[in-house]
Amino acid sequence: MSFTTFVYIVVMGSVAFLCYYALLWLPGQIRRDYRQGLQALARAVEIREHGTTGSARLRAYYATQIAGRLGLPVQMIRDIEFAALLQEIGKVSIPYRILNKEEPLTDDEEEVLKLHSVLSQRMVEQVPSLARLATFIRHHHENWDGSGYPDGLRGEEIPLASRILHVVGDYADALRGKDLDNPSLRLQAVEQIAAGKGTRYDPRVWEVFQAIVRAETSRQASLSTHERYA
Amino acid sequence: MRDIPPRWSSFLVRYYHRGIILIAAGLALVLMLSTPPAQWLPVGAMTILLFAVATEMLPVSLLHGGTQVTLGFPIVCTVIAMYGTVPAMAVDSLPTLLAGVLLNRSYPLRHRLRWGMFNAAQSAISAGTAGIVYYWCSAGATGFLTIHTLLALTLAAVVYLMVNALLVSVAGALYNREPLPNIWQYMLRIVLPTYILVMPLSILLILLLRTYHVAGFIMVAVPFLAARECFRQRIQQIRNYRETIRALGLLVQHAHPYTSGHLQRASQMAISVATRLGVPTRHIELLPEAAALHDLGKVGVDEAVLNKLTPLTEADWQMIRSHPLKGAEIVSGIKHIEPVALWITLHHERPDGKGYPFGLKLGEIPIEAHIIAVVDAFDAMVGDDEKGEQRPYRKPKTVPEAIAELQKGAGTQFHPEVVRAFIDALAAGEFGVEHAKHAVSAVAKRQAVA
Repeated sequence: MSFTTFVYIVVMGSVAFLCYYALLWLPGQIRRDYRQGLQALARAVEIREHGTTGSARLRAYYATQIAGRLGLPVQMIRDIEFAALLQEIGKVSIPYRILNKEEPLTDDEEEVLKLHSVLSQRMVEQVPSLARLATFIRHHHENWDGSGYPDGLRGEEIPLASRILHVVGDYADALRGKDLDNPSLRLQAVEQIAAGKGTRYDPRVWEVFQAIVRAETSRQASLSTHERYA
Repeated sequence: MRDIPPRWSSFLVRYYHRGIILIAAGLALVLMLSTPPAQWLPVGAMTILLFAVATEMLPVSLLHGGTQVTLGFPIVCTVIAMYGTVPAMAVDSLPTLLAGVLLNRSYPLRHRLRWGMFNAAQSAISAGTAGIVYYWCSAGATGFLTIHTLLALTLAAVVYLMVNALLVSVAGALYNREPLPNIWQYMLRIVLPTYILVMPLSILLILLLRTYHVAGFIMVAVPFLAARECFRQRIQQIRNYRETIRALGLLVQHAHPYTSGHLQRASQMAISVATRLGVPTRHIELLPEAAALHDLGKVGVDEAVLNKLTPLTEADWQMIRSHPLKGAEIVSGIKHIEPVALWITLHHERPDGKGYPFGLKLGEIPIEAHIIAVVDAFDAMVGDDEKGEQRPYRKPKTVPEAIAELQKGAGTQFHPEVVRAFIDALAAGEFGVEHAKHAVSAVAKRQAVA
């Protein structure tokens, strides 16, 4: 092999590497960066609201699972994942005392707490690269029968993403202050919110969610949430 | 470029760019006279020149961390090896001049011409020295692509990039008041990666140009431009990421009304002070992030405690003292800004060891944490120019009062060097004329004492 051939091969290899780097490696890396950054900021809300450590990851994990099983496009699944991380971010503007009150909330306090979906929407709207998630986040407490907030949308009027966020949000709420890695507590939480099927939640989304949880518990998955959603 | 009163001698600022243009012209003349015209005016070089003009019109921005991707550089290397030094100087400088004149239309033509010529002269000097080094090293080489010529080309490329880095950083320091970067650090972080990325391409160019002439050039140009476009987009995405995290982090802190303008001002002040103290460039780059996010941990503190008008209980204090660690916990999850978490943890430590959370002493606290502490304290003291920014538990101070407070705390609450640099920056008018007036008198007083 002549020296020139050798140089040709090295050069072609470098160009191939350059293409691989720019087209394949870098986009994946940036996606991981985004995920980590948003997880970090979601952590801010978890620190503010006692007993919710790990809930953002939990929501993101189940939201992507549901979206995947519903056969949504990849880009949509990623959007839903990020929206699940950020849906509670507006709670940084809800008074600390209300978020962490031990006793049941009064009606007034309940109303203040309900502002969080609109607050989250407004925050996310102000960041150009995330603005497309704002609508999903605004409607993540709309009920299937129209009794939810803030706009009282019903059925198919609610964006599918928001219907998914609603289920995972309530599930994470039901697990507040509990050990996220305990399978029986997880099942309990599912039973606790199961009454919402058809009234609060889209029946189709609920079925998929339940199937996922059943499959997990039947496998007696011993992996921690951390390991499943790294 | 901005017209700024010179920090160094005004003579240097006035004549530096003219000197550079003269040196470039002289170098070109000497080299042109020392070689026959047939060698420095081949048709091929002219074709490349046109191509280089086209690519120079799309200047590519800096990659995260500063790696620069240009088509101009491999072309210059190619032309040096194929045609000689003078065509390389032309190929490097004329597109720069043209781009300088044709882009940035918002500036007057005279201005564009002047700075275009200056930049072109810088390119010409870089290319000229590289060419001289190449022909000096490859003298006596037999054959075209041998280890001998490849080594010479490598050395020429390194010289090119070093000379260019030197000229660009001196110009930046003179005309834009940028800090003069550590040349070695610059070499390692920017020049070396650029070189590794781009050198194979210039070898490919040489090979193709030799075999297929101009057609070979076009063969490689298409995939190269495509790759370049990819890079540009990725760079944009990394920028987006950093902006996204910062914007969202600011919004999260806006839950506390007094912080609105404060965090933006604080980042600007932190950069000025750090530059004066000679903090490494890569840390200065992270300081805006740190200044913007340093109070993130306060989302985990009851705002009723933060705004309390009655004396705080021990439990209240404990909660407030937890905010640096909470902030660091959040920030440590964000990629690319790892050192920031440490500074945020320690931004309430004091030189006398009475700070929190750990009670560290002067030498144990990074200077960046001290900088954040000083700018945060100053802005919190005077930050009443916007409505709703007052901290309810204390009355706002005037600028002289705040300066006096900083000076009083120097050595106990604040790092003395940082306070000094901060007041110097104020006096230099970096945070507005109004502040400068008061600071100048403080500096005068200090000098009178000394």
